[in-house]
Amino acid sequence: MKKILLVSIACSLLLAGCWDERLYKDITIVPLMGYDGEPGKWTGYFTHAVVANPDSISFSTVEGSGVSIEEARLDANRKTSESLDPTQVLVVLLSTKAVKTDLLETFDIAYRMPRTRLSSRFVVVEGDLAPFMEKTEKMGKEVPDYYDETLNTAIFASIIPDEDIQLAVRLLLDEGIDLQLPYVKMSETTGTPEVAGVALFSDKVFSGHTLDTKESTIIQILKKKPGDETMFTFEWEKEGKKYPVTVGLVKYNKKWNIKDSKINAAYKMKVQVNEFAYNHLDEEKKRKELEGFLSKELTNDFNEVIKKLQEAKSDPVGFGRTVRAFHPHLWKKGKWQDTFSELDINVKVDVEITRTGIIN
Amino acid sequence: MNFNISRGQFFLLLFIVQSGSSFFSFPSPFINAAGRDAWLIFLVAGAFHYVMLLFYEQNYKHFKIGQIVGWLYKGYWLFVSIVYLAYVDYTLAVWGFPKTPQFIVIAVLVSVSLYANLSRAETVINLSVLLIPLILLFLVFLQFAWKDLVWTNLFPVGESTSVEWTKGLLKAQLAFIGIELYLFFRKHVDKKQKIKGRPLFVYQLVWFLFFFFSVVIILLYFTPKGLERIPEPLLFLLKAQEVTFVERLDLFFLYIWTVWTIVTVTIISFAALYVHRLHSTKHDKRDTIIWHILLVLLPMLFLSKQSMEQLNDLIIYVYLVFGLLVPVTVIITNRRKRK
Repeated sequence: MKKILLVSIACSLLLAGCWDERLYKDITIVPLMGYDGEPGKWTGYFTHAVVANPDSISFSTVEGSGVSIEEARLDANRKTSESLDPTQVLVVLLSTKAVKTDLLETFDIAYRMPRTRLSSRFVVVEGDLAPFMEKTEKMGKEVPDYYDETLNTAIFASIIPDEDIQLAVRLLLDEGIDLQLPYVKMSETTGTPEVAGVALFSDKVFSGHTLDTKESTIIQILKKKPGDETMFTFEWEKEGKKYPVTVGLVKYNKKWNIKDSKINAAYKMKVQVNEFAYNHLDEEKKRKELEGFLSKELTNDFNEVIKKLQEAKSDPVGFGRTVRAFHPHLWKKGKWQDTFSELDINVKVDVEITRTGIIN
Repeated sequence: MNFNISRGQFFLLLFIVQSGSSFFSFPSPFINAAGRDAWLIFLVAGAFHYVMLLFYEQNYKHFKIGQIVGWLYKGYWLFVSIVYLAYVDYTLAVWGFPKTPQFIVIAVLVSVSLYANLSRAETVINLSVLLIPLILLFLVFLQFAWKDLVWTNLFPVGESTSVEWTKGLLKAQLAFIGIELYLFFRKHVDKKQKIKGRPLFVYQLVWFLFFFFSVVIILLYFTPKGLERIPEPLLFLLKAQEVTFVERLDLFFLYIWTVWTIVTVTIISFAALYVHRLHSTKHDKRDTIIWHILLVLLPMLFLSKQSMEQLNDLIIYVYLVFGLLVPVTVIITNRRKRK
């Protein structure tokens, strides 16, 4: 009796999942999706794999529409021979119109469906969405791979935050910080999509403000979440001649002092000089001079970015998290985005050159 | 039924039953009820748990039950098993097997308990050992979320209201369920091994740190608003981790949790059948099979979301009766009788 029972249990375990198997012959993987529209009127673009023969996989885009993003997918499903499977999506492109409405309500399904991949990324694109779904000659690879690799490169260079869907939604649900999403434009010179900076969100919707690549890099530093490589280039004027200076961030620390309605943020940065044709960095006087120049330039740039954030009523840095935790009187003044826009915020950057590489 | 267990086996058995199903189901209702001070409230709940253990240790010899109380406990454990099985089956249907007939999943789960309970007592007692490496693995993988944790989420302290404290302390009882087994199995522990004092404190510490860790990691990962949307935050947290060797890490741990629940149900069934055999020695096998048929059939009545929520609310009050009220009443009555 026991033996029969044991064998039955072992065999039944082998059957688990038979009902839930999903075969690749019945579905087609969708690695890239795009959404345009507004609540009640969504258009979805789904780039899916087409296997003509076992050796070649190409991608095709199908369009669908509906009152929700799920209905748009179901509509597009009717136009393909295989079922569209978005569970392994890499990138979701969103038009600026689409992110003008509550992102959380629209994409709740992408966050909470057990089968969806939370490591995919949201991207905001400028203008009409359809051209961004098309493959151009200069891409050099298939569209989904192009976006995936371009975004990873921008994350590596600290231009955009390393935010996947799960983090994006968590930020939308956090009252003390605002979301920033990669902002992609069509390049005027090459005609291919390129990362142009970040799109700033205020509360749960796109504020309409964007930052360029240098400004978005500053945001990642302010937030203390830079990528592997962070570089800045300035022009240093000496003896009537301009010398380009490129520095890379080695390490840094931040200190925020929050009192009443004033925030003093101090950043002490250790940098390495990668490009400096003027040389003479072995002389302490010259080094100090350059450090002073870099500190002044970066302080100005950082404060300019803060002003832009306040104009956009967007706090992607997360000052609000610290305020909520330790300064309740300031937090309870009202909606954080409004309070943040009126704060007196001063950033001071102190640069120390610790490495000069092979430059003297 | 005569069996002897070591101190280690006893504490492991207790730990598995207490953490089994509730580890995934406990944090969300607890934190939603307790608010941002949930970690503070759990510190107080932890102290209360230790007081209960000390009380049980002091009085387990006076906990002698008659046939009626025995039947009440059998009913209680049947209810607990049904809640656990319905919950794990519902969760499996949502996360892993949406199309697999639910009675087949339950039948597979219950068949493990049937096999173990038809075997010798040692089979059930040693089944828990299987989970030790899996639990450690589970804790290790939770560390992947380290970079996503926001330490300011724990502050400000003292934000929860008195209502939240009361509700929080009540919901914290979910982590206590199973503690009553102490009273039933304590007398089977090897008499040469000491339980009082340090060993009991170490058990309390392990239990407390395990649940406290789960509460803190969820508080650090989710905002209160975010948590309201997620019924199984730990599972979701694991789903959000990207690893190179598997597409969905959550499924891997969903299966670990399923095994955990199976072992818990096996131990609870063992306890129920043990109490049954205290008063009825005939038809051992038949009664074991009937018990397991009930375990397959009854959860089928509670597989909707609404039933799940109602059962998860109700189980706390049922536990308070059988984990606290009945033991105190039985112990006081027996002590008075002795005097």
